[in-house]
Amino acid sequence: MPSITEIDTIQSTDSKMKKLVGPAIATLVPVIGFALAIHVYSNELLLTYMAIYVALAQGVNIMYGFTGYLPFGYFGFFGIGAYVSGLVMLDYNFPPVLAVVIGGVGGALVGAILLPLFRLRGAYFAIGTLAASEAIYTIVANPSLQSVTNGPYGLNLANYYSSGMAYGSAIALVAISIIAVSYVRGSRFGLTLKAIRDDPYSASMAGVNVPRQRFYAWLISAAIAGMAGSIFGWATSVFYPQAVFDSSLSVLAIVFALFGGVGSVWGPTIGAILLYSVYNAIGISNPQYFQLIYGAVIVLLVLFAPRGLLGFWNFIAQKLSSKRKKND
Amino acid sequence: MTDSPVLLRIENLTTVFGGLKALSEVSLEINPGQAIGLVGPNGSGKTTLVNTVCGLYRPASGRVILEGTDITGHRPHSIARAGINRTFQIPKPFKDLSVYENVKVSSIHSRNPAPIEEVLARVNLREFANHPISELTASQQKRLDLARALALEPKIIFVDELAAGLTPGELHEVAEMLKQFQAFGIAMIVVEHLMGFLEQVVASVLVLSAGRTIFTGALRNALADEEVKRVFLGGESDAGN
Ligand SMILES: Nc1ncnc2c1ncn2[C@@H]1O[C@H](COP(=O)(O)OP(=O)(O)OP(=O)(O)O)[C@@H](O)[C@H]1O
Ligand SMILES: [Mg+2]
Repeated sequence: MPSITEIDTIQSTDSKMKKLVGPAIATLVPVIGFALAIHVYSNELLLTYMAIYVALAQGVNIMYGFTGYLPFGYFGFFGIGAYVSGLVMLDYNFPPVLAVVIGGVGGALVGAILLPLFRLRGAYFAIGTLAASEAIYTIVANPSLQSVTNGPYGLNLANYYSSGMAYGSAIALVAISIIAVSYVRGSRFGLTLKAIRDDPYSASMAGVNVPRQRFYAWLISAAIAGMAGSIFGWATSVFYPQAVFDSSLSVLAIVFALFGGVGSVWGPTIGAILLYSVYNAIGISNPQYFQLIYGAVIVLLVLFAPRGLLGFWNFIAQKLSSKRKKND
Repeated sequence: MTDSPVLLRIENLTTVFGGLKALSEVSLEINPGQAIGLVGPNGSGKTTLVNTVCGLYRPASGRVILEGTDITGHRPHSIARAGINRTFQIPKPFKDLSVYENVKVSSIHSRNPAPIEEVLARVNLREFANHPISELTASQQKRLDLARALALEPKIIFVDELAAGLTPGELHEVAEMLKQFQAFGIAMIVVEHLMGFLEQVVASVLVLSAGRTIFTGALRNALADEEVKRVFLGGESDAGN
């Protein structure tokens, strides 16, 4: 039997390789896939939205997969991102890519303001974030703010329209979000978050400043949503406030993440691509039923398959390998 | 008073749940390397004392003073980093992490982390380092709680019912372990129902009944004390007094 130091050194060289190779593949495959897809399928806007949903699902992954907090109000960051980036383009003539980054900062700032929501737990947190995002929407869309946000009339970014650039940015955001998830998974920060998810009080007795660590995850997640909203607004070009402050954005991102499997790097990517394709193939004709179905899907997934497709896959793989062990 | 080397001083600590005074004016002093037993019938407030000192509950009144610093009402992670730690009556491992990773979490957030392998060796879990939690027995999970505490180089550990459900062999192993921690200068407050186990580890005890201190002193004397006998033999009938 190898001593523990041996095991450790074997693992550390091994896992250093894995630490780079695994995330590299998980990042490059979807990025190359999206880059090639445009040559096969010409609806660039739809592909842009799909990439945005991959990033959003990964943002939900960081939040729910690593802290156990389900952010139903995730769309608030998305909407703020769309507005902040749109306004810095319109009012200060910022180049769109820089505006997208600022939209991400805007999302993170709103995340910081909403920090007290972490005092809530479970369903109360989910509902609390939902209410907060609805409140942000009401403020942004308010006619009395028309001089600043253009109130209920939304933004017109037609002068900055560049579908190719927007699609490229969406692909870059896919890469950023997957790298962020890989980092969280493989780092001490990720280990800490998993400990908190398992037992917050135990974690605090292990010296973990629980609220602060959760806050970091929340900020990363909010920044991703802010950038996603920025690219959405830019690619859509003309939008009303209700299009970017839309609770179904949260619902879809959560379903995609849960369906693929939270806590993993691949799950949300696969979930978003598969389900968003299905959604567009069938859902366009009668979207209202899809809302209902997706609502039911969330409930079922949380209750019966908290680890999603990938969890199911791991379960099968484990069964097979334990069978093999027994046969040895 | 200032020259006394008291490590931890608990002064008139009172914790209230709704209308229930689960802990009532409890005081205690402990020095480095000292071990004190905390005994009392079920529901007498032992775990509540641990929870209050460790920052899970805020006391209604009273103070907790570590090496002269008032830490009453501080948040759990700063209490842990300051050198107070604990185990749990029902062990609370991070169930999605390996044994090694469980201890690593403490080590990451410690002011001066102890080497993880050394810590595992001290609680006889070294060969389980890469095992998942699901493969550990209840006794091993309790020792993992201890390991997580040790990784923060604690000055004092509250041990909440470590012996329950252990085999005689395991009891001996755990008693030796606790004695060794004392030898390293770690103070311990040992919550325990098993007197045979307790007398191997501590010399003095504090006896609680319905949240109040009814005895402090040598364990031998406690067993002879009339009120202590009455409380233990009378079961929970004292709960209303
Ligand atoms: N979080 C809580 N909320 C309300 N009441 C509580 C809480 N924790 C403990 N109590 C009550 O406080 C009293 C003391 O409980 P505690 O767990 O401290 O007892 P104990 O001495 O540790 O008992 P045991 O030997 O069974 O572990 C009990 O009446 C219990 O029901
Ligand atoms: Mg107890």
